[in-house]
Amino acid sequence: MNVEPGGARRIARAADRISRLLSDAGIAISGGAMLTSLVLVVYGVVLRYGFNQPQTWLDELVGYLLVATVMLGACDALRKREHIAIDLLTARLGGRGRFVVAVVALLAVALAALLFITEGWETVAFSKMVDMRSTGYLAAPLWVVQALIPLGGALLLLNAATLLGRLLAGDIAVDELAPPTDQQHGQPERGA
Amino acid sequence: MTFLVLLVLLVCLLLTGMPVFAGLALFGAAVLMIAEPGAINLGELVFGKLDTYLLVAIPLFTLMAQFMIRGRVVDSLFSTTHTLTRHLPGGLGVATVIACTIFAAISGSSVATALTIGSAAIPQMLRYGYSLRYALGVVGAGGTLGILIPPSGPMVLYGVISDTSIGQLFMAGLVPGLMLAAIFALWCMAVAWRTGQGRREPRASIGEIWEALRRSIWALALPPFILGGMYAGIFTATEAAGVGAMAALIIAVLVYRNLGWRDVWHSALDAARTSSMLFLILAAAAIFGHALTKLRIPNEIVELVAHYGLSQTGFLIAVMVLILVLGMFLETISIILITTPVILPVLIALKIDPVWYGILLTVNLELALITPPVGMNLFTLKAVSHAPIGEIIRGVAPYFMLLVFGLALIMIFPQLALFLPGTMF
Repeated sequence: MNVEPGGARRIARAADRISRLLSDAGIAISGGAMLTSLVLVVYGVVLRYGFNQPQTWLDELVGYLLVATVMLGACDALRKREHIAIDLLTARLGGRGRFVVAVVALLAVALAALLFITEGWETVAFSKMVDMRSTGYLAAPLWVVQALIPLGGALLLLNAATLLGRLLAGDIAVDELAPPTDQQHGQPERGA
Repeated sequence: MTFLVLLVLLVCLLLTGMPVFAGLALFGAAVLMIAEPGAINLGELVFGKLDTYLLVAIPLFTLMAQFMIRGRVVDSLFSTTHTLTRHLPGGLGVATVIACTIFAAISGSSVATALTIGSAAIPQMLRYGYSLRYALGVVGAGGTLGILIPPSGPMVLYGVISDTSIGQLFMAGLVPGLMLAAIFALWCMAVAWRTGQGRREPRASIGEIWEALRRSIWALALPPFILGGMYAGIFTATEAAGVGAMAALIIAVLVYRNLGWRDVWHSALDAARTSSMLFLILAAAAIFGHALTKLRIPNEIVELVAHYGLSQTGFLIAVMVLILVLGMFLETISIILITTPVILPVLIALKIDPVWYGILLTVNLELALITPPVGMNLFTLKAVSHAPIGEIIRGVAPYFMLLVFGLALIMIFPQLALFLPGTMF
C-alpha cells in the first residue's frame, strides 16, 4: 500500500531533487574537466617531443581544471558516500546513536561548506577589486577560477542541507546517507 | 606538548564519525581563530593548495588503473604469475605476491591492489588447499605494496607537501618495494613448506610460459614504460600519469576491445570523485597546517629536538612510533597531511634526506593499512572474503613483523632507498 508522504517530507524531497540535479551537473563538469586534463597533458607531451613546441600555458590551465574537478565533484562525492570518515566508535552504536552521528556529520559538512563559501567569497571579491591576474602565461583574471571555491562550497552546502532535511523529516533512513565507513572503502578507484 | 594535545583533540573529533575533511577544516579554522583572531584568509590558502599541476598525477594514475581494470587488461595477470611459480612450495602465494607487485606498479593504490588481486587469488588458494589465514595474510600484505611501488598516490601527496621530487620518490620506492615483495614471497614459501599446505604442480613448459606472458604482455609492459620514462627524465610524474592513462585507454579500446565510451565516462567520474574526496582533505589539512604554523608548533618541535640533542636516529624512531600509533586510528592520507608540515622543519634541521624519510613514512603507512582497529586493507579483505576480522588480523600478523623488519633495514641502510634516485638523469 502506498502512503502519501506528509508536507514536510514532500518539501524535503522536492528540495533534494533540485540539489541532486545541481550535484549531477557538478560531477558531469568535474568528470569533463578530468578528461580534458588528460587530453591536455598528453597534447603537451606530444607537442614537446613530437614537434619541439613546449606549451607553457598548459600547466596553468590543468591546475585550474583540477580546482574545478575537486570543488564541483565534492557534492556528488557526498551523495555517493565517498568522503572518508572513521567509524571506529560509531559503527557500534544503535539506531538512535547512528541517527545523531549522521546529523552531526551532515552539520559538520554544511559548516565546512559555509567556511569555503565565506572565505572563498572574500578572496574572490579582493581579487576582482584589485584585478589580480595569474603570474603564468595565461595571465588569467584570478577571481574567475577562485570563484570555484565558493561555488563548490554552495553546492556542497545545498546537498548537505537537503539530505539533512530528508533525514530529519524521516524521508530517508540513516544507513542510506550515513557518512562512509572505512569498511565501505573497498572500491578499486580508491587513492591509497 | 601543544601539538600532542591538538592531535589528541583532533583524533577525538574525527572519531565522532564526521567526514575527515570537514573535521580537519573546522578544527583548523577554530584553532586559527584562537591563535590569530580576525586575520585568516582561507580562500586563498585553499585555492593555492588545489591549483597544483603536480597533484593531477593522482587522478590520472587512478584513470589509468580504471581503464586497465574495466578493460580487463589485468584479468590474466594472476594466472600468468601462477604459471611461472606453480612448481614452488607456496607457489600460489608467491604468484599472489608477484601479481600484487605488478598491479601495484599500475594502480598506485593498496586497497585497489588487495581488492583486485584478492578477488582472484583467495578463492584459488582455498581450492588449492591453502588455509584461509594463509590466503588472507598474503593478499593483505601484498596489497600494501601498492603505495610503496611506484606510482604511488601517497608519495605524490608527500612530494607536493614537502616539495620533494616525485620522480626521485618513485625511484626510491622501487628497491624497497621489490625487497619487501621478495621477503613476503620467501615467507610464503617457508610457511607452505613447513606446514605442507597447498598443492604443487609440475613446472610450466617453455610453451606455457610464452603463452602466459603473451596474454599479459600489455599489463607487464606499461609499468616499465612509465617508470622508464620518468627515470630517463622524459616525463614528469603528471606527464607519466597522462601518457600512461592514454596508453591504457588505447590498449583497452583497440587491443582488448573491452572498453566502451560509457566505461570511459564512468572512469572519469570515479576519478573525479576520488580527487574531490582526496583533495578536500588536502585543502582542509592546509587550514590545520596553517593554524599549527601560526602557533609556531613546527619551530617549537625543532627547538625541542635541539634542546634534547636528539640524533637523526632517535628522532626518526620517535616519529616512526608516533606514525605507527596514528596509523591505528587514521587512514594514510590524513597521516601524511597532518604530520608532514610539522616534521619537515626538523628533517631540514637534522639534515635528514626528505626522499629517504618519504620512503620510511610510506613503509610505516603500509603498516597502518594492516593494523587494527582502522586498517583499510583489513576492511578490504573482509569485503572480499567475508572472513571474520579476527582471522584476517591473525593472517596478516606475521607480515606486520616482516614490514617492521623491512622498515628497520631501510633505516639502517638508507642506500636501499637512495641508490636508484642518485643515478637518475
